[in-house]
Amino acid sequence: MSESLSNDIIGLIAEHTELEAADIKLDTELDSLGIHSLELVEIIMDIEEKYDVEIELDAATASDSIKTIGDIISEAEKLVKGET
Amino acid sequence: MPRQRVVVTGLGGICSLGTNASEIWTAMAEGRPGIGPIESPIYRPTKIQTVAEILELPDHGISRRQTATMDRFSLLAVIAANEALAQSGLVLDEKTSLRTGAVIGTGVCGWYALEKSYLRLLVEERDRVDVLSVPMGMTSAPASQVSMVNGIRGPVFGVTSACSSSNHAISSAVDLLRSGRADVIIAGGTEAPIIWGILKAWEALRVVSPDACSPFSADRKGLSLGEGAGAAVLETYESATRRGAEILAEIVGVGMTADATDIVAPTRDGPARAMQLCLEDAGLNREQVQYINAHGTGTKMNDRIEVEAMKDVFGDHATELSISSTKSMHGHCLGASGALELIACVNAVRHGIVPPTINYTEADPDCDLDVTPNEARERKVDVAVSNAFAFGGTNASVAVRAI
Repeated sequence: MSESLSNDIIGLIAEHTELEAADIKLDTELDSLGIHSLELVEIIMDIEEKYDVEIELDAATASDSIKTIGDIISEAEKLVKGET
Repeated sequence: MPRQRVVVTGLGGICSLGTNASEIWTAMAEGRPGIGPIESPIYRPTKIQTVAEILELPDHGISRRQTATMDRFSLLAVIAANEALAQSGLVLDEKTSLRTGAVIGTGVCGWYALEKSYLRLLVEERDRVDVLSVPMGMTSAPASQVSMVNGIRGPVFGVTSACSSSNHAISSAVDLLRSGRADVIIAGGTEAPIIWGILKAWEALRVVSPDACSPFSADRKGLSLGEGAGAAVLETYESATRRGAEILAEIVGVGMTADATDIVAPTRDGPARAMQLCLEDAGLNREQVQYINAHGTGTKMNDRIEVEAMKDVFGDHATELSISSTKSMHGHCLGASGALELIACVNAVRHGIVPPTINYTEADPDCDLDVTPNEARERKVDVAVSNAFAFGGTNASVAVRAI
């Protein structure tokens, strides 16, 4: 897992939730951060915009398929790698 | 079958005068000004420099997961509704939640979401807006959020009629309760207009006062915009007495009309008919009313026409009325006005105090009734009528009686 990508994504999540980046780990459950499923979609879209990729996800079911910070990062990573 | 009586068992509010209903009432009774130089961050300054804003939100205890999906107008509504519900002592369980509803008025919409979207698209030149734009911006969001935070599962919807939205929401709630569709309705209104796009829109209308808001005073210069929310737990008398709730007052009548003439200029006939229908609905003679919480925006035309309409309805009794515009203190909170002014009316009948119209300096022959200038008046109030007469000619009056 690329360290800069995961740091970037954790940075985006921290920005969005007003949490400290240091408190967000790969196995942190999104539930424990108090993130609404639509905020999760917004964070994923920020990632899409930043890396110019499109993650397959719809707003209504996002919270079912993505449970942890690591899940977001690995989804993004697959696509970013595919691009390069 | 006799008609259901509708009573108030809880009140909540937040505006520039305070972050709960009792703080707001105390400020109103003391004639405290809540309008001052703007402090909220605005994208670019506007000519509107004086507003009635909420400088600090109270510790509301609503989870971050929930507030993350709320535009400011929804958050204010939920704060007010939670306070009202807590006062009512209503326990929302499997059964009662099905017989409880929420009807919340708003004149504008979730403008913070809207403005953020346009700034992103046009200024930041990004191609995507926040995924929450639709659910945060929609006019029904405050009612839905009040329902979701509290598990209210009966009739839930938003109501909109510009500056009458609150009184129309209260009137809708009264009808839902009288018709037996619910036992309890959280009714009220909310608005958060201290934001660039809305200030620019009001600036364009040129009806905003450059400094104080002084309704009915000869030197009045216009309205002052305010933000806030108010909520009341309205309940059938039967439900309130069954569960032993403290009853604060009765909503004894409502009246709704339209001018059907101009989108901004009011008529005398529409407001007069709203007050008349309200009295008829309540089964009251005009002599039984002591206090009118006027729409009283502080514009030249509104105040003059409202006084004429009151004379049409109350005739000889008009000079016996105590009238006031509490907008002189909390500003014009648009769709939240009627709900905040219900706090004035319920407390007026409970405590025998008529809150004043502040900033009154000079008598206007066009407004020659007792507008309770500058200082509250002690007076037994059995019935208070709250007026709301909006742009678009949508009028709604609500009558509150002591219990």
